[in-house]
This record gives sequence, C-alpha cells and structure tokens, in this order.
Amino acid sequence: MTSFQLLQQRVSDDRRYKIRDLKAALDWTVWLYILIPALVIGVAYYRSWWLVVPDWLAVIPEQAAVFPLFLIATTWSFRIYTEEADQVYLLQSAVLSKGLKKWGMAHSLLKGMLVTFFGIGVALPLLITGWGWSVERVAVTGLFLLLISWNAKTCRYFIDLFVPSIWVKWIPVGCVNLLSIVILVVVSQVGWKFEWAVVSGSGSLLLLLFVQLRARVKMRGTFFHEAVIERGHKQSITKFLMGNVGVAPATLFVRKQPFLFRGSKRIRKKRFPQTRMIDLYTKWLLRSVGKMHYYLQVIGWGTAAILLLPLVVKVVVLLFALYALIGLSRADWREFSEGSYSQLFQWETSLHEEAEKQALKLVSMPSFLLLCFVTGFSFPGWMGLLLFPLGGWFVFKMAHRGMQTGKWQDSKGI
Amino acid sequence: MLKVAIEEAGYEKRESKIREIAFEVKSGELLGLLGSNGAGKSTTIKTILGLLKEWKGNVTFENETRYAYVPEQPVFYDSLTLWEHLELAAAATSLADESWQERAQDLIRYFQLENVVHHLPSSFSKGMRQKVMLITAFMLQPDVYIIDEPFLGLDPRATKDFLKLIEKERARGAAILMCTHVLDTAERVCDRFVLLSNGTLLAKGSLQEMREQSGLEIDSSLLDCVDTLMEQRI
Repeated sequence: MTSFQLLQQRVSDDRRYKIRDLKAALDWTVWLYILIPALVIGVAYYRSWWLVVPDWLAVIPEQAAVFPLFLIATTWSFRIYTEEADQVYLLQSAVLSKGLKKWGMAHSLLKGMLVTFFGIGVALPLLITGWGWSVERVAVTGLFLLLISWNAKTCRYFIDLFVPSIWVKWIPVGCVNLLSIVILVVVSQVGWKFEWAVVSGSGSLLLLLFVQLRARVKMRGTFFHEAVIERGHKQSITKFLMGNVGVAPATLFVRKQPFLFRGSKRIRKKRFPQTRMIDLYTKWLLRSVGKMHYYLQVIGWGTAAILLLPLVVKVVVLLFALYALIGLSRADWREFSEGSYSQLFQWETSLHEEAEKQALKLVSMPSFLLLCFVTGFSFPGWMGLLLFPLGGWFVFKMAHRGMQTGKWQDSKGI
Repeated sequence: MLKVAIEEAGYEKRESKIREIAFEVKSGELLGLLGSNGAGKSTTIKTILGLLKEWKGNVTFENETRYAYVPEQPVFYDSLTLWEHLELAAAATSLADESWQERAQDLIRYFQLENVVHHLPSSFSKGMRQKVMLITAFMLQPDVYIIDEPFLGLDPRATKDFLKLIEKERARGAAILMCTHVLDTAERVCDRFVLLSNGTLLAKGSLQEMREQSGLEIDSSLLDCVDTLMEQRI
C-alpha cells in the first residue's frame, strides 16, 4: 500500500465515522422541518443579495467583512491522520509514515482552499453589489485570505502541540488570529492597490507556510500528542452534537491532582455517611467543568430571557428553567450514584435515598432561587422581589417532591 | 455464603450466553472460576452481581451477606482522589470513620501507594489502579469477595501481598470467588474449582476431583486437568 492510498483510506474512514454520527443525530424530521427549509431560505436570500442590496448592509462598515470571512476560512483543521495503532504498524516504515504526513498536509491545505473559496463565494454578492468592491480587490483579498488561513491553521497546529494548558493556549491563538485579521483589513482596504505590496506580502506568507510545513515534516517525538489531537478531530462531530455527554475527553496531559479541594479535604466536618456522600458528590460535580457548564448555561440563558422577554413569557421561562435544573440534577446524581465504581459494593438503601434527596437540591435550588430573584427584579415594583423568591421556594419544593426519583431500588432491579 | 444456580443468562432476550451453572462458595473457602476466553466467566460474575436483565435462576447471598467486587478493568470517577474513592465506598456502606480510616491507611501503606493518596486514580498506571480496586475491597471487609482476574497488571511483589491478604480474609471467614487464567497460582491457593466452557459447566470440585474427572494421574497439574477436560469436550 502506498502512502497516498493510506491517506485515502484514513480520509474515507474519518468521513464514515462522522456521517454515522450525523445520521444518528439528524433524522428525517430534522431534515424535513429544519435543514431543508433553512437551505431553501438560504438560497433564496443569497439570490436576492445579487439582485438587491440588503438594507442591513448599510449599517455595517465594509472593514467588518473580514471577520466572517476569516471565521469561515479557518473552519478546517490541519491534520496528518495519525492513529494510535501506527506505533505498532506504521512507524517502522519511514517512507510510509513520512509520505502519510506529506499527503495529510496537502489534503488539509486543499480543504482549506475549498473552504476559503466557499466563504468568498458566499460573501461575493455583498462585496460586489453591496460595498462595490472591484473583481481585482476581491481576488487579492481572497488570495490573502487563503494564505492567511493556511498559515494560521498550521500555526494553530504547532500551538496545540506545544502548549498543553487549555487556558494558556488561547493567548498565542488570540495573537495569531488578531494579527491575521489586521493583515486582512489592511490588504482589503489599501494593500490591494499596490502591486509590490501584494507580491511581497503573498511571497512572505508562502515562505512562512513553507517553513512551517518543513518544520512539521522534520519534527520528531510528537507521535502521541498527534494521536490525541487526531482523535479529537475524529470525534469533533460527536463532541459538537453531544457536548460533554458520553464523549471521552481527549487530553494531552492527564491531571494528577484535582484543581479544587486538594488533599482530599472535606467540605463539611459532620461524619454522618449521608454528609460524606453529599460532600463527595459536591466535589465530583464542582470539579467536572462540563457539568457546571450546563448549569451556568441554564442560569445565563434563563437570566437573559427573563430580563429581555415580555412579562408573561418570563414566568414560562422560569418554569422551563426549573424543569431543566431538576432534570440536570437528577441526571448528575444518577451518573454519580450508579457509576461503575459504585457498583463494586452494596449501598445502604436508606442512605442512598436520603443522600439523593439532598443531592437533587444541591445545585438546582440555589440556581432556581437566583432566577426567581432575577424575575422578581425585572417585575415592576418591589413586590416581585419578595414574592418570586418565596413562591419559587414553594414551587421548587413541590416540583422536587414530584420529580424526585426515589425509585432507586426499582432502577437497580432489587 | 453464596449459592449460584443459573438456568440461563445473557445480554439480550432469547440469546443466552451461559446455561445451567450451579456452585456454591462456603465461608473461608476460595473457589477458582476457570475457563478459556469467552467461556462465560465474566457473564457469570455479572449475573451474580445482578447486573444482567436477562437471566433465570437463583443467586443467594446467605443472611444479609455483604459482598465486594474487584473487576478485571479498574473503574474510577475521573474527578475523585484515591482517598475520596475509599471515603465513598465507606460512606455508601455506612462505615463509621474510625472503622475504615485506619484500615484504609494500613492497606495504602501495604500496597505502597502512600505518595499518591490524594492524587486522581485516572492518572495511575495499570498496576496502581488494580491496587486501588483491591484496597477498596479489602477495606470494606465483606463476607464475600468476587474477584475478576486480580493478577493482571500486578507486579510479583504486589501479587504476593495480595495472596497474603486473601489468606488472612479466608482465616477471618470470608468466602472468595476468584476468576483467573493464572492456573499455577490458582492451583496453589484455591480450595475448589469451577471450569466453564462455551457457557456451560464443564467440571467442578477439588484438584483431586478434577484429576478424577479428567482421568489423569494423581500428580497431574491443574493445567493438565483443564487442558484434558477441554479437549474431551471438543
């Protein structure tokens, strides 16, 4: 098998994997009611942009065009299609592994080119009929957009490889993106008029790309990092569709100690088993960034909707938030109390039920009361501030009693 | 302590993986559950633990017997430390602090994990993870141990330490069901054996009884007996 055939096989496996995930998520109802109508409406709008300039374009400065263009042009990924099993089967053959790297890079750059052309194509009516750009100006901007997207994504690949911390990583990534956007703004506004600037600028970007690609081919000792990055790309659709549910996070470095409550310190001093259980559940929940993210989303979107929407709708949003918060708490407690580790020993049934009652209130109750307070605040007069938290507390108690599972024994088949 | 009489069990309806398996484990006894890959050992254990929906038969733990399970693949919560895992096991089984903490510390020292006691087990090596599983089980001091392939990933020293603890627990009166492929060790430590093949019970009894069933001489090893019994079946 040649390295090109190997690449073809990997690309096709990757595509099959992603299509399978998409098929699972997008059934015919999603196609019928959302995607096909959206596509038809999108095409109709696009056609209308060629004929009549949309009104909203008048309030958008033409410099802003580079932001969406840059975003679209950098949606691809720089990949070399390494797999973990290559350490056993492929690394012995230098020709094959080097060939796969080169073809992988070429394939990635080709994807980048197609995505960039698509972006330019979508924006074309706005650029030409809306802002009155000449063909020459669009072509030069498109050329720089392509070169910048190639360089930015290759650079991002090096950053992923060498900066392990997800927080620190955003500093160099932000710098690269900012620099890219500044160059694009300058080129699209004035640079395109000067031939020497176009030639020297594009030449420099090509040279920079060449240097980065060469460095990538020569680099050694990054196999395991690459395998993890590749796994992340392969699971990108799954991750997008499922969020943090059921997807094993692909991390380059495994954390040895937790970032909260180090040294296994207890939160509360009480020694009752249910207090210990709730303590451990709290630590588990607070240390799981993905899970806290969901609660924060409900609170954030709920707050925004309550503040912005009409009076009656605020109450509906509040009830939906209550439903979502109790549902989340319930799912989290089940995950914790029925996890593989807790199947290793027999739980005290009464303890499980008692701990469950407290666990379901732990995050959902303060979150809901916060939303009640926001609703009360957004109602006219001071009565809302008093009535909504009080009423919310009462409603929460009722809903909690109604929705509390309490059927653990049934779920375990005991 | 534990009586097992499985008529049939499997993962899906009308697709049984194991059939007609019956044995019991008495107090202070170590029973070896043997069989080749795919023989049905893990399915038997899952049935005993009540993890399968599709099964018929009886599994009885006598007089509110408490059990602890050591799985073949260690399992953990990603964001709890080693100590917190032990605390969870103790809390879930309502053990008071004074009755588990000292024992847990002794076991952590015994298995030489004192330097990582506040670390996340998800960052441990395979052998270290397996040790945490053993510590969890031994800390609870249950009446019945169900242990699936305990030797995988353990270094010779840890294997020896584990076998010593097993002996102690047997002396205390605990019943142990141990599933393993390491036949020479099983021959040394187990009182009786249950041999599975293709999801059914092929033979059971002491080493002497296994020799008699396989028709081999009095000094034959467990490996010879198992091998002969499996060949006879084919």
